[in-house]
Amino acid sequence: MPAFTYPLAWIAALTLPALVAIYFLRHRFRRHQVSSLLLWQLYRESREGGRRVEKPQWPLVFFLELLILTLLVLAATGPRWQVPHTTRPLIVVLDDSQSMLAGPEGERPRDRAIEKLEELTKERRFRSFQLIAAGTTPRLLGNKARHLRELEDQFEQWTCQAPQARLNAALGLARAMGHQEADLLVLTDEAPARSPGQGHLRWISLGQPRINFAFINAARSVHGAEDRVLLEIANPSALTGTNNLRVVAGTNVLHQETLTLATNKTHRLTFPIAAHTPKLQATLGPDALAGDNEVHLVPAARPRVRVRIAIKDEELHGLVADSLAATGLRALDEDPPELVVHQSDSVPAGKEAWGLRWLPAPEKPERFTGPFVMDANHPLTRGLSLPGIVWGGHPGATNAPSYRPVITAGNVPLLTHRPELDGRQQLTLRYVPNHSTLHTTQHWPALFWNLLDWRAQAKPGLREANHRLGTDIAYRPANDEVVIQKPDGTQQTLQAPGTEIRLPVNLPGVYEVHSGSGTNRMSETFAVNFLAGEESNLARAVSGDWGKWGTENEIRLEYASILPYLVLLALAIMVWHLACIARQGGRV
Amino acid sequence: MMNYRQSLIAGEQMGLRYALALPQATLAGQRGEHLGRRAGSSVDFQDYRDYQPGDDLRHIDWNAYARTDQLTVKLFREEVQPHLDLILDTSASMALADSPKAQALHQLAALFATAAANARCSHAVWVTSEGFQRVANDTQPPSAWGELPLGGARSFEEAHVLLPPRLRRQGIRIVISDLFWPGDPLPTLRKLTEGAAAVTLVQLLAPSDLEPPKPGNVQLEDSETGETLSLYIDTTIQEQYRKTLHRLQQSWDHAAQQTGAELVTLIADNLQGSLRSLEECRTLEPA
Repeated sequence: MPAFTYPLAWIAALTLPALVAIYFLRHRFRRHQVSSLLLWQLYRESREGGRRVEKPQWPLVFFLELLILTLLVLAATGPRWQVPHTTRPLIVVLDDSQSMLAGPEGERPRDRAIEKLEELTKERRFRSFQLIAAGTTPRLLGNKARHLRELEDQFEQWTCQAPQARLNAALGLARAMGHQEADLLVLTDEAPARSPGQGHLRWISLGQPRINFAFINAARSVHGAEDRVLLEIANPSALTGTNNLRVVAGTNVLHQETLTLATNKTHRLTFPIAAHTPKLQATLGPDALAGDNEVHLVPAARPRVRVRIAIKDEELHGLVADSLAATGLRALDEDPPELVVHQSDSVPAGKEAWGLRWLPAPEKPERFTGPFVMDANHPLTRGLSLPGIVWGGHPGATNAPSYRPVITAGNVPLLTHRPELDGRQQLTLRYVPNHSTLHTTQHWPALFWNLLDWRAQAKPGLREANHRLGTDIAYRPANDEVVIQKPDGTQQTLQAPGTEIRLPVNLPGVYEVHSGSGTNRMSETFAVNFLAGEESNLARAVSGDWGKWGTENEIRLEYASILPYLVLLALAIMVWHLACIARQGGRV
Repeated sequence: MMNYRQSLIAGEQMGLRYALALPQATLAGQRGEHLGRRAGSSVDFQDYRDYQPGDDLRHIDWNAYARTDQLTVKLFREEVQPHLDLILDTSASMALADSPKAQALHQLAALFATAAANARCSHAVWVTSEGFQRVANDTQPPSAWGELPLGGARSFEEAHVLLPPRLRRQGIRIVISDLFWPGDPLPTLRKLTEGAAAVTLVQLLAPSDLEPPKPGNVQLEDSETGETLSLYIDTTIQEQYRKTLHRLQQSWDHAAQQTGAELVTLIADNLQGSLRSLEECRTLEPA
């Protein structure tokens, strides 16, 4: 017996009696008395109409239409029929996170997962195999294969380097691909959030709780003239453990100690380091998971912006120079300038020069005390607030066309911004220091820091030098070709037609990125570290088997959709119907 | 819808505005007020001829006798009363259901009879039944007529064969019919025009005679024979019907031209508007 997914669609069967009624009424004759049939003796001459209706009242096309409607109504109910076969496709979701590599060679969850899969295929036959790696984003490892042996190449791509496994997202993909007819298998080292019942999903966990020390945080940041290093080590195991920490820079050992950490305790280590100190490597002794035992920290990026101050007023010049110096982001030299602070009407020359036009003070400035309206999404207003300040500005000023207001006092623009087509930014500031108090508050250097940081972010290259695996690494190339040297020695060339790309990084280690050519060539080094406290937590690793697939007999009793067959059959009958109509010269 | 008696009265009232137009040359009839084609007793001089015994001595032209010494009599135009034979097709097709055809037939008959009276003509009314028969009191005004026997099974042509009407020679004849019968109209028309001073054929059609039924399956029923015909009517058939009707009217028109008759087509539901065509063909004139 068929099952119907949408039984309410049977309502559409009302069209069947409607069709019968149409044909019945269509073939009824309305009586019409005429003076004489003399004028109607011509019907034999007509080809199109006038034929004496003597053929059957229910022509073939009626039955074809009835059949088509029946099939379409049936299709609308979503009918399912018992499948005649006893095998299903198998879609395997493989945990692609680092924790699958925990443990000695041969006992790692990854190794056990492959063995388990082979074992399962001996016990049960499947129609086909499809592998999905569940990392930060789910990805197919290759095409569908008929036999497990064909998947050996795909297993090599299962590298288990992801900082997290989004198993639910991968399962969603698997379900979509399987159309509710495939068996799903999850091979991981963790337990499911909710145990699946009997049906299509089987969840097999192959992990084991182990003692594991891990770097869960590592940073190298600018701290004045020096760099500051932060290392955070955790023991997320169920037992207290001991491990050795060693920090080296080249051949110099900077720090070494033995750590004894109780369950779920962390150890934080911070120390200054000279800014010129090259790549720094911190390692932990061998334990269950090797991937989280090593971090690399390259010197922190120190973006500097070349600023030219073209203001004649000495007092104002001094104020601007002091404000820029306070940010620590101003370069020592100013040629060619990347930012020009000026008071002229013209836009600064130079293809990299952004402009901050400081409008000369009016004769009678107006002191605005608010309310000030700020564009909270603008880079210049980050962390800025203007309560209780006095802003001396130009009375009755209006916003120039194409300028976007950033800070206004009511409808009087105080700071406006206009992006140029070539990527440069032009800013206009209406600020009279003698009648203002903003430059005496902490918000003033913040405003200038925002300005220089915004300009620095727009420069080609990386924004930061040390990254966490799994995060996006933005890069502004010098030209449209980017070459990446990966930690495993391989090189990858990328086409970068836009102004910014995300670098494809899937391994921890030290990378080099190059772009540009000649004097414009730019090479930078950056480090990517596996810092995933959750993934390093092997205490949560378990072994178990949840969910059951249907037995062969159960599969035999399963229902598969027959909708496509019904639609195809309906289409074929429609063609037949058309042929009948055409043969009858368009008449029914 | 008016009953037939009311229709007669309405037609009589309509006819008060008209007089039957009389052909001058060929009139004949009983003594009356109109000049006939023969010699008679009017004051209008017509001709001379030799005296023959029995001639009225009062008509001898004594001046001519003095000059020529021969008896010569003066002939004057006779004065006649013309006669109208109103021949009505009262077969079943003229009483077509759901049409104003029968009412229009009554009105037209009454109109012509009244117009004839206005023209000082006598009239007789003939209807088709088992042959042609006179209507009771047909020489009286229409409101006094007996009932017209509508719905006869005989067609006009059959009735004419069975018992033709005894029509007055040199009288005016007006035939009111839908002219729906098969065969050549010329022989029928020859019989009607033989010995007539003037013949007018009034083809009275219902709107449903002019326009075929709407498209679809239709079972057509002949109002006279009861015969049915089931047809699928489409635009082609509709067009062919209109052409056939036009051909029929043309055949009657040709026959009328050959026999000197006038053919006028009137639409039953617009009788007032159609009367102008009767004036145009000089069958009626303002009273």
